This record gives sequence, structure tokens and C-alpha cells, in this order.
Amino acid sequence: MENAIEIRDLTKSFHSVLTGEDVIAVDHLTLDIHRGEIFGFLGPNGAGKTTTIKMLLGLIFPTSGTATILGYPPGDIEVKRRISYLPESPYFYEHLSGYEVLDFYATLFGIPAAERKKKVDRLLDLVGLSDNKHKRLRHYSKGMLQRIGLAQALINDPDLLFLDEPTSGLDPIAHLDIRDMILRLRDEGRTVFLSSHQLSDVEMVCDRVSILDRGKLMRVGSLSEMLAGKSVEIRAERVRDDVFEKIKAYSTDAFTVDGAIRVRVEQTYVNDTVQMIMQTGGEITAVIPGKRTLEDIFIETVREGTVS
Amino acid sequence: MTAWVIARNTFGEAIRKKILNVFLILALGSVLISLTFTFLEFRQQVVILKSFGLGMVQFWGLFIAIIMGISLIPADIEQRTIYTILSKPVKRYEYVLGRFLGGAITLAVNIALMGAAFLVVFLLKVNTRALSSLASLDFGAFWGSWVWSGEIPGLIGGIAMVYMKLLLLLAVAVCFSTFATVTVNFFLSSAVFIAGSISSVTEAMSKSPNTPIVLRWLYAAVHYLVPNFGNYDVQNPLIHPEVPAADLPLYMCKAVFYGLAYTIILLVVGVLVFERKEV
Repeated sequence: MENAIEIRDLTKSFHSVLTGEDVIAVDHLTLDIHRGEIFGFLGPNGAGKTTTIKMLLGLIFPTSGTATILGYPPGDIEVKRRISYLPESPYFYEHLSGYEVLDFYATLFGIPAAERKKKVDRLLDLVGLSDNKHKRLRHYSKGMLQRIGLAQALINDPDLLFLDEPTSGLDPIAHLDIRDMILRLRDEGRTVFLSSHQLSDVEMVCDRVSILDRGKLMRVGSLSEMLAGKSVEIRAERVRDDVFEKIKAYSTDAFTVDGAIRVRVEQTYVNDTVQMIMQTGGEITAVIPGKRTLEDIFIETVREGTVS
Repeated sequence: MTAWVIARNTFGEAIRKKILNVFLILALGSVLISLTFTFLEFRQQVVILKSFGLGMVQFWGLFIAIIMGISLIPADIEQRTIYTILSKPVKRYEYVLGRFLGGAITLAVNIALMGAAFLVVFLLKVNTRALSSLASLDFGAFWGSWVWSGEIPGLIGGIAMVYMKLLLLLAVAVCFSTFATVTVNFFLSSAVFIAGSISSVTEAMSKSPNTPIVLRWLYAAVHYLVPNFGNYDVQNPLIHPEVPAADLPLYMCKAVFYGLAYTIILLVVGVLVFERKEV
């Protein structure tokens, strides 16, 4: 599969004047982001997510390691024409109106005046700001600024978008709109690099995710594989007490509800458990594959990292 | 082209800044104050008006240049607007050049407005007699006695010299802003301006046998490295045109070339630093 971003051993350390020591923000990060996918870039605060994005955009420079974006080195003028960036809590020139700020960014891409006007109007319409297009940005709410941020990120029809917390500070409707928009971007064949703390959003839209903790890559993989449970819940009735005790010994969770038992066992024990219950006169009422949430995986990964 | 887009935006941003507008209003007010020096003899009034007017244009222009110059780039970094600009197809040198050009245009407009106000006040002053004939609605006498002072071209040259001096200061501030914080830059740029304004003193100290050798080197370094802002002090021959002076237009041309050369050097240094700056 062709990669939109290739990161190899990327490291960034900052020198602390106070302690005299180097603080490693990103530690030998190696990662591939495939073309046309929505890639979730997760991690707790201070994990190095924004530092990584800034290195990929050429805003800061790596201490060591390399990266290529659409085949170009970060910061290359050619790649900048094909990518876009929505920073976390974006700030724009407040003296400009919504229309003027998009026109300004469009001019930086050298888009001709006539085309610019059409494009800016279309984007304002897309993000629901047509009625406020002549209002100065200093009078915009946080949600409106986030929408104008997304509009500026679409001004050049980018092949690759870096979105840093795109739904931060948005009301539920705007939140939903932006989530739908991200999915639409993938349907149009664009690659989205999504850094977010909104795990429910990531779970809903991303194809693959990675979890970064204290600069190190802890996990990376397809979301469906990550979420697939390894344990199975078995529900049964008329189970003998001695059988229930035997199952409890290897189950991760076991309890009774109105005389029926509910046990959670690892996949490898499922057949033996079902057989044992049936051979001893019990009746299986349900076998439910366990499913984990991204939040479970995130917390588990970060905790494992903290312990190790 | 990209630098020009950024320059235009910088100008739009600057003219909407309240602080710069306040300086401009204060400057226009200061120039008007000079009309109240009526207790002096007429000839003295004109001399004082020229000195005071040019001084006020420079004084308030100095505030505008330094306040604007030290914040042009750091403001974008602090407010993080720079992220969405440098992630677009904008080369770093285009950004620095655009911010400087925008500042230079803003400075030019401000100096032009202050200078125009000063020239209007000057013309009103030298035409006091013509204006008094207006009171009796004698328009013939008004046009008959109105004079277009021959000193106007010289005064325009003087205002241009003030602009060139402040443009050089703006370049110093922009160059320093690529690596210094706003506060540090304020003191650095001010120090350079003061040191560059007393260039004849630093030169004399660097050659004085009474100065310790290390200090002589230091004074020599300051004298040769810091731009000579004193080059643009042409008030004396403008205020006292009756005193014979060297070829003023030629001197002004040389000063302009000197200033432009220094400005280019400062911008090149600023760009080289900014190319490696992490934002």
C-alpha cells in the first residue's frame, strides 16, 4: 500500500535551560500512514503529538531521523501546496472577516481572483458561516473559529490534511458536522491525519490508530483489530455449583443473575467451558464475543507504559 | 508575489491597531500645537515651527517604527497565526520580507500623514498675512499675497530623511525579532538606535588615546557595525537655509543608498536566522 507519510526514527529533544538536560519529546518514532485513510494519532497531553505534527509540517526540525510527506521532505514548497493544517485552538488575523481570511489564504496558494471568490463562498457555505462572512473574526465564537479553521484547511483541495483536535470546543451539532466532513474527505480519496482526545470520534471515523506516550510509539494498528475482543461472555442456566466453581478459577469475571451464571473467559477456554456446562446438565443461553472500546485500549496502553 | 500578499495583510493589520493610531493622532496634535507659538517674533516662529515639526514627525515616527518592528514577527508566533501561514506554500524568506514590507508601507503612510500635516501648518504660518486678508473676504489680496515657500522641497527631503532613518530602525527591529523576545528586542533596538545616533561620539572615543585599548576596540566595533542614524539628521540646513551648507541633495542621496544597503544586510541576516527558527 502506498504511503502518504513515512516516518523513520524521528526524534526531537529540547534543551531545558533550567535543568540543563535534554527533554525528549519524540523518541525514535517510526510510522507509516497510508494514502486515503483516516489515521488517528492519540496520546495523553505531552505525549509528543503536536511536536510530531510540527516536524512533519517543517515548523520545527527533528533532532534526528527522517520523514517524507507525499514523497517530499517536510517543509518542501511543493508538498505545502498539497497539504493543509488545522492547528489546535486556531488563531487567525482578527482584523479580517471570515471572507477576508479565507481570501488571504487562497491568495497564498496563488488561486486566481475569480476562482477564489467562488471557492471562498463555497467553503463558507460548507462550514455554515455564509451569514457571518463579513463579521470580523474577533467577534467569532470558538466554534465559528474552528469552522473557519476547517474551511482554510480545505482551501487548496489538499491530498493530506493534518487536523489537530478539530472538534475541540464545538457544540454537539457542529461536532457531528465536522465528523461527517472528515468521513467525506476520506470518501473523496484524501488522507486525514487526525490528532484528537475525543476517543469516541476517533473510534467512529478512523481506519487505523496509533498511541503515543511520552514520545514513544506504544501501539499502532487497524482499529477493527484493536477493538476485537479476546474474551467471550458465556451465559448459562442450571449450572451445578461445583462446575461454576471450576469455571470461576480461570474466568476473568463470573457472577450469577437470578440463578443463571454469566462468566467471561478467554477465547481459548470457550469450547471447554461450553462442553463442561452442557455435559453436566446445564443449558447455554448465550455466547457473546467481547468488544472493547478505544478508551479501554487507550487507558490500558498508557497505564502499561507508565508501569514499564 | 507571496511576500506582497503578506505585506498587504500586514499593512491592513497595522492600520487597525489602536496604539499606532493613537501615536498618529498625538503626532498630528503636536504639529498643530506649534501654531500657538505666537508670543515669539515671526521669523523665530517659523524657525521653531520647522524644528519642532520635523522633530515631532521623527519623535512619534520613532515610537511607531519600534513598537511595530519588534512585534511584527513575534506577534504571529505568540498568537500561533504563523502555523497556518508557514504550512501554506510560503517560503520563510517571503514571510520575513512580507512582514517587513508591510511595516515599511505602514511607516510610510504614517510619516506621510504627519509630514503633510506639518507642511500644511508651515504653509499656513508663512502665509499669515494672506490668511488675515481672508477675514475681510478680500480674496484678491489673499491670492496676491499667498506664497508657495521655496523651502517646501527641502522640508519634503527632510521628512524623507526621517522616513529613511526610521526604515533602517524598522529593519534593525525586524532582524532582532527573528531571535529575540519582544521585550529584549525593545531594549536591543533602542540601544542600537541610541548608539547609531551618536556615531560621531563612538568614532571619537575609538580614536582617543585617553581611552583604554579594549574600550577603543569596543567603540570602534560599535561605530563600524551599528548603522549611523546620525546620517539622517539634516534639520540644521533645513531650519537655517541662510547658512551655506554642502550639496544637500547629493548628501541625501548618499544617505538613502547607505540606508538601503544596511536594510538589505539586516534583512538577509534576519532571513538566515529565521530559516532555522523553530516556531
